[in-house]
Amino acid sequence: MPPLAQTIVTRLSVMPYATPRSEIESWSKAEYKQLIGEHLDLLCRLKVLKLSDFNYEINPEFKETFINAIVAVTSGSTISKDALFTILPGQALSAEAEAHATASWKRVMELVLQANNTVTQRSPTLDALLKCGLLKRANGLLGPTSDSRRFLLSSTRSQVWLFCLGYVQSFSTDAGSSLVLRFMTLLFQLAPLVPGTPYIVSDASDPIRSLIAILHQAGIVYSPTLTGKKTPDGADKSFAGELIVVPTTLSAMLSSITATYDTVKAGFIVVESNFKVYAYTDDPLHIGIIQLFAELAYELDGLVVSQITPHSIRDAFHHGLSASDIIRYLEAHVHPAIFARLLEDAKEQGKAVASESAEQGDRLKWIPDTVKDQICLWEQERHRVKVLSPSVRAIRGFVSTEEFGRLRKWAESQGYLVFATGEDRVQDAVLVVTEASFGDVSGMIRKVRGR
Amino acid sequence: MDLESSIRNTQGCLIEVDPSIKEFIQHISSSSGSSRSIIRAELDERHLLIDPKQLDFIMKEVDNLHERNTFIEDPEEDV
Repeated sequence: MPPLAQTIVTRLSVMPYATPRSEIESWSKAEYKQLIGEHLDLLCRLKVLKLSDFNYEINPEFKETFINAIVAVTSGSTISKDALFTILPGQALSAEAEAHATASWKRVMELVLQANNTVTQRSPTLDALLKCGLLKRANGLLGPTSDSRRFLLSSTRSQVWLFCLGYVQSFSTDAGSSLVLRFMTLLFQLAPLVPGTPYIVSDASDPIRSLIAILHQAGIVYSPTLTGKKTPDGADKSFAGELIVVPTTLSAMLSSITATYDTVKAGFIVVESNFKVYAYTDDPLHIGIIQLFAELAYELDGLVVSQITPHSIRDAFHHGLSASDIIRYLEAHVHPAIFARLLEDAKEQGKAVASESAEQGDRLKWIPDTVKDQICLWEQERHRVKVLSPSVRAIRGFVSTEEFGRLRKWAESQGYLVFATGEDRVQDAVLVVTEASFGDVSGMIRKVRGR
Repeated sequence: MDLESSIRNTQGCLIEVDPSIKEFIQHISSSSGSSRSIIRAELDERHLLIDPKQLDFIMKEVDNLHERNTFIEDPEEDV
């Protein structure tokens, strides 16, 4: 996790209330406001934070585990500081591990994309996705969850974390809380290991074996033990009974913000201001992902033309995607020819173009603003009717503004108040309280008037 | 005199809308007539108390309004 995100998480974990974004932004200088916004967005997508009415708070399950981990370290109790992984002497397995990672991760993406209330044969990868909450089975049919489409449009790093956290969170019950700690310890120790190097896992208990099997199915690790190969070539045969894992480039995504992995090595999308999307690919996976938010117009050899329409975008929103998911996906896959054009234009205008960091930042501007703004407007249309509370009581008929003010303050202090208006004119004064609190509020009105 | 007789309470679902959508909801409520009573109370220019059972109907009508007011280019003209 980047240092700024770590700071935000640590501070919010001790806040007793949900914190407004403006307060979080005040923790640093004004010029870092946008960076803080990006980190808050990242933490929400990783489900570490929850956003409710523009206030941020830590996910309760994460908070409990985080605080327990800190307490356990300081009290020297359950967190193990012992290394779970020991290097296995022998030949590195980089090629095998990466081949396994590429094939397995592609299978994961295809299964999530194609699950559309269909009957699908069972497989270990499918079972892993069901366990992680990325797919669900209902009446024998396999279908997407509310997180499935967001998973497909996320960056590979976010996808790996969503996959791992989904599995770990499935154990976040009272009985499984110690397992959550062991799993998180394993993931944090796995992250910095060298991809391609075989390691022996010291804790070969059944829950850990199950977790390693899930990670192997996704290609996050490669385990020769699970493929029936007892030891890697060149390794001492005395290690034959051990649980051996080989981290892949995907497991490196768990830690480093500089680690990169992409099924497509360069961008392939060009978006025009007339809402046409040109994708220079013939990979069915990428074509399928684009069709989650755009309508297919033409499919040629090496080129797919799609159209972003109000209907396709509203359909995407209905299935759990947001405007920022779609825009982020398009920006992350911009064709390098667009950026080359940016460089040319900048040089013609005499602007200095700096190095890679500027390159990455300017790349983000090459989705037309008209397209980005219109997608955001279509999202805002969904929020034109906002449900504040599904079951309330609106109380009118106060005798004076003092009575109204007193009852309003009391209701607010008790957490009963949903909305209040008309403080200036008693004829217009309305107090809206939750349905469950109406009995208490009636009692308080009688008490106030009885005096 | 019973002082509590002046107190009136209405049960419902509280929604927040912009003034133009509030006008639209008032229009569909009045044109539906007695068969579908949608608005239970108008609290201010942005807040309404509605019948919770009519929420899905309101969302659908607002979506239809957006569809009607969106220009879709004729695909046959697009070469």
